[in-house]
Formats: sequence, C-alpha cells, structure tokens
Amino acid sequence: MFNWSSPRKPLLASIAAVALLSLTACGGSDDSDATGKADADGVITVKLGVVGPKTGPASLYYQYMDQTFETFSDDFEEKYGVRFEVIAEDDKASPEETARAVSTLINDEGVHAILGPPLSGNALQVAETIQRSKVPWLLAGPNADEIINYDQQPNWAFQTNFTNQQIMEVLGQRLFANDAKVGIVFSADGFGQSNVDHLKSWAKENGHEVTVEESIQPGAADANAIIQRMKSSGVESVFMGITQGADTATVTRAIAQAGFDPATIMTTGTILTNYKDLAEPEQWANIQIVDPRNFLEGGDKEVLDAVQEATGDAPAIPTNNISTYAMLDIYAQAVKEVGDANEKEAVRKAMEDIETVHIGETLTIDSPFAADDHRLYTDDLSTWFTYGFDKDFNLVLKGTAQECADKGC
Amino acid sequence: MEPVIIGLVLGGLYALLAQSFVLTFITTRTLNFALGEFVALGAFATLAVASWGWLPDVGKVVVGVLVAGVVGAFVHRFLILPFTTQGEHDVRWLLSSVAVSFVLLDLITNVEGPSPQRSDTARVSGTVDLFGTGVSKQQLLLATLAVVISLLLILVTKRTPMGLVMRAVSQDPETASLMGVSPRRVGMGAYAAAMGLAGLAGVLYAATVGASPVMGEPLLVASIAVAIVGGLGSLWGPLLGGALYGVLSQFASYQWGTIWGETAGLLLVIAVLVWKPEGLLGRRTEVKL
Repeated sequence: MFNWSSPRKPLLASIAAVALLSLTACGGSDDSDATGKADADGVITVKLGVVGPKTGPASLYYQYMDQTFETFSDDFEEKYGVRFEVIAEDDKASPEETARAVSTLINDEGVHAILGPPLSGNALQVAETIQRSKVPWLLAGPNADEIINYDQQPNWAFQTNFTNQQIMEVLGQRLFANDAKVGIVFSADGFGQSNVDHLKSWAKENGHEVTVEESIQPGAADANAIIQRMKSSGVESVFMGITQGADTATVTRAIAQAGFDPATIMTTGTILTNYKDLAEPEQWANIQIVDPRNFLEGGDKEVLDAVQEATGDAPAIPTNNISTYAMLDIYAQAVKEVGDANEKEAVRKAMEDIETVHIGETLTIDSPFAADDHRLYTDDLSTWFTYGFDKDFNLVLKGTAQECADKGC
Repeated sequence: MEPVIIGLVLGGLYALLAQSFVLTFITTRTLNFALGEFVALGAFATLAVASWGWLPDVGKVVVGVLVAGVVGAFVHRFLILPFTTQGEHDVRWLLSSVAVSFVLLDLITNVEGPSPQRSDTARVSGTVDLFGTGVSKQQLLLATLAVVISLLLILVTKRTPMGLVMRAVSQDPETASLMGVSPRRVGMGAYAAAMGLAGLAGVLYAATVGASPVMGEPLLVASIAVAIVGGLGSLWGPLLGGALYGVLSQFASYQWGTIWGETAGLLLVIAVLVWKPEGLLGRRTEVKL
C-alpha cells in the first residue's frame, strides 16, 4: 500500500535546516569546480541553475527538487560520472522574481542548464528568454503545454511531467462518458488556466461542451458557490484542476456540504500533496486520479521510497519527485555522451535523441523525444493508470485509463 | 435563500476579524496589517499544545488566544506605539505593522514549514440544515461566536469602567491622560484583545482548513472590507458589514460565478467610501478649527 509518512520535525531541527539552507544559498560561484569537462577522475561537474520557490507558501515546489538531489546526486555521479553543482535561485513563486533569477543564472552564473521553475505560470514568463539563450531547459514540474513552442527549432525545453493536453486526452472520454454534463474547477494560476483551456479544447474537438467552469483562488475560505452552481446546472462529472491539495480539500468539503453527488470526480496527482490531512475519508471516497506513473510498484515507487528513506520526509510532491529524477537521468546521460556540458547544442541534441530514460532501477522509457515532441509521456490511454483511494488515503489501482474508459471504474 | 445563509455564515468569520481592526482603531487610531499572521499564530500555538492530553480543548483554545494576545500587546508597545509619536499624521506604524507581517510569516514558516497541518482542536464535524441549506457546523460556530463576542464587546464598552476608559481614550487621549488614564496601557490592552480575537478565529478556522502560515492572508482583504463597510469606529459595524459583504459576495458568486463574488464585495466598499466614508454605522467626526 502507498503511504509515505511525514513525521513532524522538532523545532531545533527546523531551525538548523533553515540555517544550513541559508548558508548553502550564500555560496558564490567563484570557487566553482564546475568546468563542465571531465576532471582527472573522469567526473564532469555541471553547473546546474535551479529556480523555484525556496521560501514562501509554495516552497514545497522547491523542496521536491531538493529532496531528489539529496537522494540521488551520488547515484548519478556513480552511474554517469556527472556531478551536479547546484546554483539555486529563489523566485518566491513570483513571475517577476523568476525572470530575475533566470537572468542571473544565465548572465552572471553562466550555468550549463536550468532546472525549473516548477510552476507553469512562472515558466511561461521566462520561456522566450531561455529559448533565446540556448541553454538546456529541464522542465520537471510544469504541466502547461504552452511553455514549449515547437515552432522554434531547435527547441531547448524538455518536459518530464505529463502535460495538460495529454491528461485531457486521457480524461476526456471518462468525463464526457454518456454525454455527461461536465464542470471544471481550476486554480486561478497558470496550471489551472492551462487545464481549463485544454479541457474546453478537447470538448470542442469531440463535439462536447463544458457546462460549468469556475476558478478557485489559492487559500479560498470556501467553495460553496462553485459547487452550488455545478449542482444547479446538473453537472454529472467534475474535474478539479487544482495546484494545491489544500484547495482541493476546500472543494471536496463544499461537495460534501452541499450533498452534491456527481457520478465522476477526477483530479490530478496534485491531490497527493497536502490533501489528506485536511479532508475526511467520505470526501475522497469517490475521487479518482489518472497519471502515467505507477506509484504502487516498479521504478516510480522505487524513486519515492528512496526519497522517503534518504530524507526522512515524505516526497514533497510525489509526481514531481519522479519527474525530476527522470530529467536528471536524461541530462546526465546526455552530458556523459557529449563529454562536455559547455557544448550545449550537442547536449541538447543528445537529450532529444536519448534512447533510454531510466526511472529508478527497473523502469525504462525508450526514445521518448523527437524534434517536435519534448514530452516524456504520451497520451496513450493504455499507458496511464487510474487510481482511487481507500479510507486511509492509500492509492488503489483501478486499472489503466483505457480499461476505465472502456468499462468504467 | 442559499446565498443568504452561506453569506451570513461566512460573513461571521470576516466580522470576527474585522472586530480586531475596529478594536485597535477606536483606541489607538491604528490598524494591524499583520492580522493574518496573528490568525496563524493562534492556530499554531494551539497546535503546539494539541498533544497535551490533560488539557481540555477549551484550554488549548485559550492558549492560542493568549499567545496571540500577548504577542499583540508587545507588538503595540514596541513596534506600533513608537511610530505614532508625531501627531495624528504620523503613519509610520503602517510600515512597521507590514514589517511585523513579513517577520511573523517568515518565522512561522521557518519553524512549522509551509504545508497546512491538520488541527483537530475545537473541531466540530458535519453539517447542519439551516432553512434547507447545508451549513458547516464549524462555520456556524464561528459566525455565532462573532455575534456573541461583538455583543460582549459592546456591553463592556458601554457598561463597564474599563469601557468608559476605552471610550475616553478613543475620543480624546490627551484629556484622558490628564485624568490619570494611560492611553499606552489602553492601547496595549486593545491590541491584546484584538489579536487574541484573531488568534481565536485562527484556532477555529484551522479546524476547517488546517493551520498554515498563510492561512490568514486570504481573509485579510475581506476583513478590512467588512470593517470599512460597517465603520471602523463602531463595534456594531463588523456585524452589519460582515452580513452585507458575505451575502453580496455569495449572491454574486451564485449568480455570475466566483470571479464576481469578491469583486462585488469590493464594489460595495467603494460605494460605501463614496457615499458614507465613515462606514454605514460610523460617526462623522466634526473638528473645531
């Protein structure tokens, strides 16, 4: 069963960790060993710029990257002879700060590649800049398709999370089954907006219409009006495209409060973060999620278990912990093949042409990319999984997305 | 009917916090813009003692209220009062209270982390049917408390010597101080009570949404709006303001979607500021030149 515990940290440990992180962040690049070329031991040290909200309410979106480095850095060095020297920039989840951070990393720090930002809206803000700067862009977090403009070739961005267009391809059939009336509640941010855009786009292409679309502000006190509007419109299928599990809890609380009982309630893996502690079992009993990762066995689970074991904490955002692992594997392989991280175009091409992506010890994905497709996953329903939850919020595998679309789950 | 019921209940939460603004304003002519962090402080203080089995829930709630209240009194004494010494046009306290907000937010986040934490203290589960509308018992408790506390505050200020002192300081602090009343102590007391109220709201609200460093932020705009609509100088004001703001924003959300809900509430604020700047129940102050 799937259950990552999150023990409460003692005060002193928290203060020590904050102090340690602060000291780490103060490290300049003057003494950097990150030449991007192999040293006497054959190890290539790469200067990797990492952008994300280190501080502030969205800091979980930095923590998952931190956890993945802490857990697997040594493994990548051992496996590929590539060592990551992380140059971290805190964007506080603000698009303006993201622009500043990316500029600093490219112009002042001269990084070999950029990992992040993890939030779609912030990534959209800097997409043009990074593409123009010709730096490999490792997008392990954001789901918005709009971040990558494939008209621009060669393209420098790579996505190892699923995209919103893909999840809508997978979910569309479920949500609109039997011509059901569909309502979407989405976060008032880049992720949410991209979700609603792609759901409407899918619906239009397939002769359907979204009946109700409502946004929810982060931290909203209630979602009663949203749910009442869905209920009074006769909505039968609900999709929650919400960034934070805490806001998902607000919506499911309102569903319970209103006595609303739609036939289908679907959401994404974001529910795995911050939801369980704020909701009651009856509120998640009918929720299902779809995801291209198998959280219950194989390489995906190995990554999550290793993070839990190495850090002592639950994976901050399980889906993104896995996608960060995959991205680092891809980039490290490419650097190893080229032999010099300074040869950025060659590294980019090596990433595009990568033959096998490794996730954990046992999962591989073959030749995922093409010049006009830098997405790790596909929208093939037979490769996606549908999960529900038991009363303890452990994931329960319902079948592949194809099986659930064909027979219902 | 549903928007009215839900709006009144939600308005109760906003009214409780708006009462904090009113309390500090009538006694010190200042507002604490770190109110959202005091909401979180109360919630986390209670969470810190949640595992003390020997302490009943009421005691744990009191801990949250006291911690927020004591910190509030200190904030007034050392971070608000020193920045109000140059007359009524001295508004440096605005900056210092915003600074307090940032400092408290960072402190709480560093100690407790950014993620919401479940809080079961004073949690009342389930919903109750109110005129055909399902209402969360927790929200109903908050709304009821807002009314009860407002009435108590009004009674205290009208019928007790302490209230007399508060009103004296409110109307003329200089003359009050000549009569042996310390506006500084009254201010500290008002801040303690106001932040204690914020802490109480935090404890009860956290039982619904979890305790997190930013839990108070989304409530701040609505609470200020409610205080302005009702009148910053009136203890009745938050009740009226909360009811109007809550019902109007819910009605707009039900009719035209949530994006219009908050907008409608803020349009109400603008209308009140244009028509009656002192608030619906506030009194216009005449100054003799």
